[in-house]
Amino acid sequence: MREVVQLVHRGRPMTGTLHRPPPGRASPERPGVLFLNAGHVPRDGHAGLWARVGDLLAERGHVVARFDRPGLGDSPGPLPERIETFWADVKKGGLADDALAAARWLREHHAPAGVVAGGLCGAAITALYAAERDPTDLVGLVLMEPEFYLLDPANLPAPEGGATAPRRHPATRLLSTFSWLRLLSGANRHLKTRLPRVRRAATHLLLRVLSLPERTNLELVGAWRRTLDLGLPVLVLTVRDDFWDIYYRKATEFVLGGRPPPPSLRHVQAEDTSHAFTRGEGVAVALREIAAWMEAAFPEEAPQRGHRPAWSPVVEAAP
Amino acid sequence: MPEVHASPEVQPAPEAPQQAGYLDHDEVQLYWVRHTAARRPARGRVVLAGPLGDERMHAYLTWVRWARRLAASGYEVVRFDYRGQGESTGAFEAACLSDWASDLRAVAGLVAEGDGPLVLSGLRLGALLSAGLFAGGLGDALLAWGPPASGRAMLMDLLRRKLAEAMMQGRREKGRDRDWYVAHLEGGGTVEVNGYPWGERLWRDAEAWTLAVPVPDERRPWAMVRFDGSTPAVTGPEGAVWGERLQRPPFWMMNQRLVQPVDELFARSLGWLERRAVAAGGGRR
Repeated sequence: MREVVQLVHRGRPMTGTLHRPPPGRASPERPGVLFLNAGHVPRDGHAGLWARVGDLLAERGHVVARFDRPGLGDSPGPLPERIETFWADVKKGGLADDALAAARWLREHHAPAGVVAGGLCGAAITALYAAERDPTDLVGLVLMEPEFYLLDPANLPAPEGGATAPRRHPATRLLSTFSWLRLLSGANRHLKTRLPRVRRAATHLLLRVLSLPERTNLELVGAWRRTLDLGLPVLVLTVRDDFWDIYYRKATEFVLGGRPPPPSLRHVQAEDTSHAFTRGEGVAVALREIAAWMEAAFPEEAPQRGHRPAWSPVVEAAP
Repeated sequence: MPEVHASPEVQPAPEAPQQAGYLDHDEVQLYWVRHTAARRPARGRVVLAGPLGDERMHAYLTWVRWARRLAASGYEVVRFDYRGQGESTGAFEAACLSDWASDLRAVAGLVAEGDGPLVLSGLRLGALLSAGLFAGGLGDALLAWGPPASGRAMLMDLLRRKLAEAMMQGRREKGRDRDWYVAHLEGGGTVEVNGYPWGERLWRDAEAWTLAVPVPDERRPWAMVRFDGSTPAVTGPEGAVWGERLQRPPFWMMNQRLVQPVDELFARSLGWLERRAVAAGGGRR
């Protein structure tokens, strides 16, 4: 059963959808789940993925909420003209306060056991910043294809009264590990159809010699480190060897500093689907993995809060 | 649900209050959003019927802007999601164009009573469905943006885009061209198109949907807006068919603009509504 809900944060309304468990399935012990906008996409997500996940988790006893942040979907509010401007804001955590307000609302009204927050790509970024900023209401994260890299400064609009970054000479791309990773991971169209095995081997070789690739979002890596410190259960879903997967793995390697991944972290790599999980079996894989992880991380009988990792992170924030 | 009151200073367009909810219909919950006219009495009532699948996702911000612009101009507006899409419940794989037309008719019932003419305003799939229902007698006026020639033509276009994307990404499977997918659908198989599972029912039902161009002696005002060569050439009375040049790619396809330059489309469409649908009484019978 779905219903429309609305909350007002700092005077700006956010329209959302609430998935309630069927009668007899609701339990105050089960955490609520909050899904955020995947970039600028309406709250149902690509091919309605988050509406489907919401129905599935509600069937299993979770109250699920999905909100359009102001300006997106059905929520009124200002928007920049260009997508790059919006993304620049996402990548520095500009949407995290809206997410925290939604999590607070969900916990106070429907999910006293706390809230699992997340979503795809931009939503994963926002959820990470939110967890770092104030984890009071959060008990877990679902991060699909978190984006650990920054935009090319030359593609960003000029700040008020300033100038855009100068475009680099194309030849400088030969020295750019970002450009090489784009090319080798298939994010660049020019080499997509050619030599998949050679590309994969070259990517792995390049990654072995790199610490953090060029244009890594260091602020987000810091948020990732501090989130792992908190010991929140986290599910990460990526598409094997795509651009997001590569940056995620390098960021995580850096954060862990040679230690094994903590038991609170589960990383699943999907095969043969698209970044939005809409190609092939992507939707089915996302539904299955998220539902299974929720069941394992938050079993009906277990306490929901106070979980802490059995390891001490030693990695310092990136310079 | 409480009404949304946005601050005018943060809105690119004048804002009108909006409400949202669910309508129970055919064992599904249809999601609707109603934008209240900024004046009383309203100039008219407009039902917005949107596009299909990925086109819905890409067009969403512009479509909502159109709804708000209409409301700010004095129209009572309701928009909605078809079953199996967006915020509406139901299984996409079980749905077809006839079901979505039924959804459109049901949502139109939300504004059956009110001031001024009842206008059907559709985009792509919504334009095709609106034209079909208009021909069947629903509404006092029709405004169709970029209607496809038929349901089949629209699905074939979406399949072509799926194949083109797969080719660009180097993932095209050998022997799987449009003919293969069509044969697969006609054989009862399911085809995934941008995450949506198309089934035989959708494919076969689409054959029954050909763009219903109003008959020459249609007295109710109607207009069809052609965006490019993909919209079929139709003829009608003076001012009924016009072309709009949109920035490429059009706003219902993936692109880099959040705020689309569609002011001319909005202004001309509003002008047509005012001149033909409202001033002429919308052909109310």
